[in-house]
Formats: sequence, C-alpha cells, structure tokens
Amino acid sequence: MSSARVAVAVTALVLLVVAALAWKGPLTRDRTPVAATGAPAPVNEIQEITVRPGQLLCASDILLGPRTQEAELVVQQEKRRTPPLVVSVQAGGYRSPPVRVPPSDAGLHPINVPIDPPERTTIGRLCVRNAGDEAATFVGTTELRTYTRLRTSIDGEDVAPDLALTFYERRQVSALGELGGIVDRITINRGFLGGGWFVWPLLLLVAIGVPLLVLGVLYRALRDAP
Amino acid sequence: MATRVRSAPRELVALLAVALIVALGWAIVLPPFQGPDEITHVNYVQQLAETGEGPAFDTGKGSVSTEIARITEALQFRSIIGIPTARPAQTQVEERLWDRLDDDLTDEQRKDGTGPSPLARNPQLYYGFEAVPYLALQRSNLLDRLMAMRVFNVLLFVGTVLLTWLLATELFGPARRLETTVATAVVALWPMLGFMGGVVNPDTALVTAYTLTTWLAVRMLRRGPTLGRVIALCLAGAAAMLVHGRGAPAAGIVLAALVVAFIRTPAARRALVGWSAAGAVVAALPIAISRLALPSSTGGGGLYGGEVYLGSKFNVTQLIGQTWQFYFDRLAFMSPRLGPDYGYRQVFIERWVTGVFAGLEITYPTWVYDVAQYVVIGLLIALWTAVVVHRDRIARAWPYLVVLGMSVVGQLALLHTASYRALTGGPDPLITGRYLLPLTPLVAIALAWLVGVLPRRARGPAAGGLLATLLLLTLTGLGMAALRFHV
Repeated sequence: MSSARVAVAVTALVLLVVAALAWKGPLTRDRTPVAATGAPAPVNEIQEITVRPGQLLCASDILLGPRTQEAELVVQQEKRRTPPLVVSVQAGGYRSPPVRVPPSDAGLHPINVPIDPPERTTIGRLCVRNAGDEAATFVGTTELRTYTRLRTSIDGEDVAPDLALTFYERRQVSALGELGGIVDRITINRGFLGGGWFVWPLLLLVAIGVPLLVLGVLYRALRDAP
Repeated sequence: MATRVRSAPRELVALLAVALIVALGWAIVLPPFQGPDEITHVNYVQQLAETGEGPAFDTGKGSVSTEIARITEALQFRSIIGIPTARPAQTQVEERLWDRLDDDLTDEQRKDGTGPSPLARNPQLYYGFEAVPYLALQRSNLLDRLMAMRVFNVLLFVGTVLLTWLLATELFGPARRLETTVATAVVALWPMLGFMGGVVNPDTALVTAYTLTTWLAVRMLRRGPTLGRVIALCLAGAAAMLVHGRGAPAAGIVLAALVVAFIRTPAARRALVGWSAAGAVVAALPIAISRLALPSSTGGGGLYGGEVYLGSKFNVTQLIGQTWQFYFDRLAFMSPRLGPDYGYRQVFIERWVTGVFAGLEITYPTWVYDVAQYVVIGLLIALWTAVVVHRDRIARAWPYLVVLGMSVVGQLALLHTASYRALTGGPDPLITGRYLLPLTPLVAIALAWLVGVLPRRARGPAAGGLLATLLLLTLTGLGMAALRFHV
C-alpha cells in the first residue's frame, strides 16, 4: 500500500474515531425541545409585570400547536410566595382546560405549566389569572433586542413589557432521534431554498460529501507530491 | 476559457465544491438575520437597491426599513439573537402569517430604513454587489431576497478559495501541489470563514479582495511588472478599500509590491514609475466616486470609518502598552490596560482560529479553545524552527515575504490602533476575531509551507491531522448551530 493511501486511511480512521467520541454525547443526549418562544427574558434589565388578585394577564399572538405542551413563565416575588395561578390557552375555537398552579416560593424562578395543546398549529393566546390574595409579579421585557410580535395585556389593557414566555415539549429527544424534525424546521423561512428537495441533499453532502472530498484531495496531493 | 475550466486541477475543483457546500450549509442552517449584524447589512443593501443611496449615519426615518422591522418582529429573528434558549418562528403557520403581512406592505416601506445606521460609514462596493440578487428578486418575498444575497456571499467565499489556490501556486510553484492543496483546503475548511461565507456581511468580500490583492502583488513580483499587472494590482487594492474601511492595509500591500518591484527591476524603473502613476489614478477614481457617494455625515468611509483618527487622546506609549497587554502580561512600567480583559485568547483563538458563531452564543466546549491555544503556540514554535533551519530559502524569498509581512503588519496595526482609539472613549474594544479573517489565507500558506518542509514521511500525517482537525471543527460548528436553533 502506498504511503499516500496509508496516510489517508489513518486520517479517515482518526476522523471517524474522534468524531464518534466527540459527537456521541451531543447527538445521543436527551434534551427537552423548545417548541416556541413567546418572548425571551430580558438580557439586561427585568421589567416587572404586576398582576393583582383576580386580574387576568394575557400574552397574545403566540404560537400554539401540538409541540407547545408546557409553558414556562418567570416570576419574581420579592419576599412573599407566588400566589396560586390559573393558566389557560385559547386560539380560534380551541380552549384548553384551565390549569391551577399552586403557590410557589419567593424569589426569581420559572414556573412550568403543563398545558393541553391544540391539535393543529395556530396563533393564539395564553392567559394567567391571579387566583390568590397577593399580587403576582412576572418577568417581562421592554428591550428592543428582545422585541417580538407578542402583545401583553392585563384585564384587556395593553401593558408595555412583553411577558417572558417559552414553550417546551413534554418529552425528551436526542438530536439523532429528532433529525427529521430538525430538517423540517430548517426548511421553514428559507425562501426559495427552503424545500426538503434542497435541504436534505445539502445536509447529506455536508455530512458525507465534504469529508470524502477532503480525503480524496488529500490522497491525490500526497500521491503526486515530489 | 472552457478549456481552462475543464483542465482545472481536480483538487481545486473538489475544494471549491467543499467551500460551496460548507457555506451553503451555513446559509441554510442559520435562520435569517442570525449572522453578525446581518439585519443592518441587509438593510444597507435594501436601501442601496431601492433608492440608490445607503443609510445615513445620524439622520433618517429608521435604522431598518419597515419591511425588515416587521419580518424580524413577526418571525422572531431579532429577539433570538444571542439567546440560546430562544427559537425563531419555525412553522408554516407563521410563514403564512408573514405572507399576509408582506402583502400589506407598500413600496415606501421598503425604502424607509434610511438611518441612523453605524454602517453608513462603510463604502458601498459590497452592498452594490449584493444589490444584484436583491434587484433580481425585487418583487419576491424578503426571505427569497435574503437567501439570494446569502448565495451571492457564498460565491465570494468560493472565490477566496480559488484565489488562495492561485496565490499558493504562485508562491510554491506548480510542482509543489501538496503545499498548494493544503493551503487551499485550510481556507475552505476554516470554520469562521465558512460561517461568514453563509451570511450577508462584507467581511467575506474583504477577505476575497485582500487575497486578490496579495495574489496580484505576488504575481507581479514573480512575473515582472507590466502596465496591466500594475493597474490590476492597484484596482484590487482599491476594491479592498471600497469593501470596508478595514481594507485600508491593502494599500500597504500595493505600495510594498511596487517598491520591491522597483528595487528588483532596475531596467524597468522608469516605466514602473509611469505605470504606478497610471495605476494610482485608475484606483483613485472609484475611491473618489465612492467618497462622493457617501453622505458627508458618515465620516466618509475613511480608515476604519474614521476610527483611526489620531486625535488629542492618542498616546504612542499607551498604544504600545495596550497592544503588549493584548498578548502578554503587563510589564511593571506599563500602565494598566484600558477596557475589559479581552486579548489574543478571545480574539485570535476563540473568535478566529476556532470560532464562535451566530450572535456569539454558539461556542465549542472550553477545552477545545484550551487545546487550540496550545496547538497554536506549538505551531508558532514549529514555524520559527523551520524558518531558522531554512533561513537561506527564506532569505531568497524576501520580496514575497515583504508583501505578505506588510499584509499582516498592516492589518494588525490598523486593528490595534482602532481598538486603542475606541478604548480611550469607552469600554468597547471594537475588534473581534472575524476582523482577522483577511489574514487566513496567509496563515494557510504558512501552515502549508510547514507541512512541505517536514520530512517526507511526516507530511502525510501532518497534512491529514491539520485538515481532519479543521473538518471536525467545521462540521461540529454546523451541528451546534442546527441544535441551537432547531431543537
């Protein structure tokens, strides 16, 4: 076997072994998929959204669908416990059963609320009623960089801060197991290149074609070297 | 022409394909507007294409057009920048939501991103180039126009890879195919170049123009000056300056090449002076037109957009101390550095050699940067050793080393001066790793030379290890981007 072939074979082997070792964890580790972001939490300064007992806080123009199975809100209670809350989502003719969230500790922390999502993807809203006797304070943002289409209101009156709100799926997935979903989502919002006909072959070329081309180039260069 | 394309070396064709695939991969995996400052760069292209003028620096109706503001809001492209847990719109329902909003937009709402914009200081060559795909799809959805612009940027990256091949062939000679291949492959697989190749940003064009200038300078020195070669070189230098203020060191490359040519070719000195004057006139023309085209309130697209103004706060001793502390620990007699603890590790290792992607939130594990730092130090020692061992060869190559050295020194001097200037007025060090990308082809040449001077048996493992490492980094970067945005 020529020295060029040996060098390329060893390179290919090392490539495979290192890739397997380095990528095994990230590709197979279970993670909770983020289904949608209503509005991210602020980067620099929290804007408090205070909801008094009995008031209804709503975040409108948010994405709801089969994947939005758990809503995450962030509360910031100075000293008192967060009062009990009732959370529901609605869109078009769909309305989820209200979910009662028990009181939680004081301080800054997320509240994760399982919701019954609609079967079809749609635009809707999530509402939270303060069912306690104390005010509830939610984390919001007025930062330009976190500005989204989401609108926030209390008892129907718009308020300036956007409610920090994220939706998750209620399952764990690995990157490999979710490959089809990842590629599907890559095809969205990519204009004339956003078709599976383009994305699948391109990603295959990236993953397989590029390494083969590089190894081929290396072989020819070493073979022909003086 | 067709014969020349058909007879192109297979290695080159394969590496151009690698560059094309990798950069298209980045263009597809990254959601719209997730490249560095991509929102404002796209707005610049839009303003230029729609109105014939770029945005203004300190006046105007808005920093971006209504169309761009609406799409980044409706599809959540702006709010996710730099926030790892935030996701953009990724359903067809939201895509249709945008289609409806798009239908209601007026032509005027594509033209109102007139400023204020810090990018107004940038010259217009790159944005003019990107205006071509924009105008070709002017009636289409903004997402179509954006992807077309990204594809055009990909072509610039592919062009850089081609120019690296030409530069390496000129330096090493056509017989040293291994060195040429390794240098070109290093550029094709450099993670940050691939990433920047897939987004709308003039940095890729600057690398292309810088590499073109360097290649033409070396070519002129190798083959001897002619009127055509001198004018081509001057135009390439002007192109680099018209892509970005950071292209100014290209003038140093041109000047160095002409001075070296003057020294080396006594018989042609008189002619060379005339050709240089002609080249200067030809190059000055587009630069003058560009300055006239920029509004006066922009700073005129000067050196680094006017950042390298050596005003009253400028202190040479402090600049030297500041630059020293960028690389090394402070010496006893130096005053403490200005600004944050931000130096070669962040700029060279993390944001240039290995990579930090999207809005700086996609990073490799820390150990990767640690290893890269030691590898870079090891390579520098190896390079120095090789230079000492082969000093006679190096000495004979002085004309080319002057040009390459001018490229490196000029770029670093500009960046350090700009950073120092910025830090005298605030906490932002201004420079980042991608600003060093124009030097990547030169680093690739140095690495390829190092491979070439190794004992024959060591060349295969060295070249294989180098390319395998860059390949792994590139594929890992793309994979991390897919996971960050789509899981």
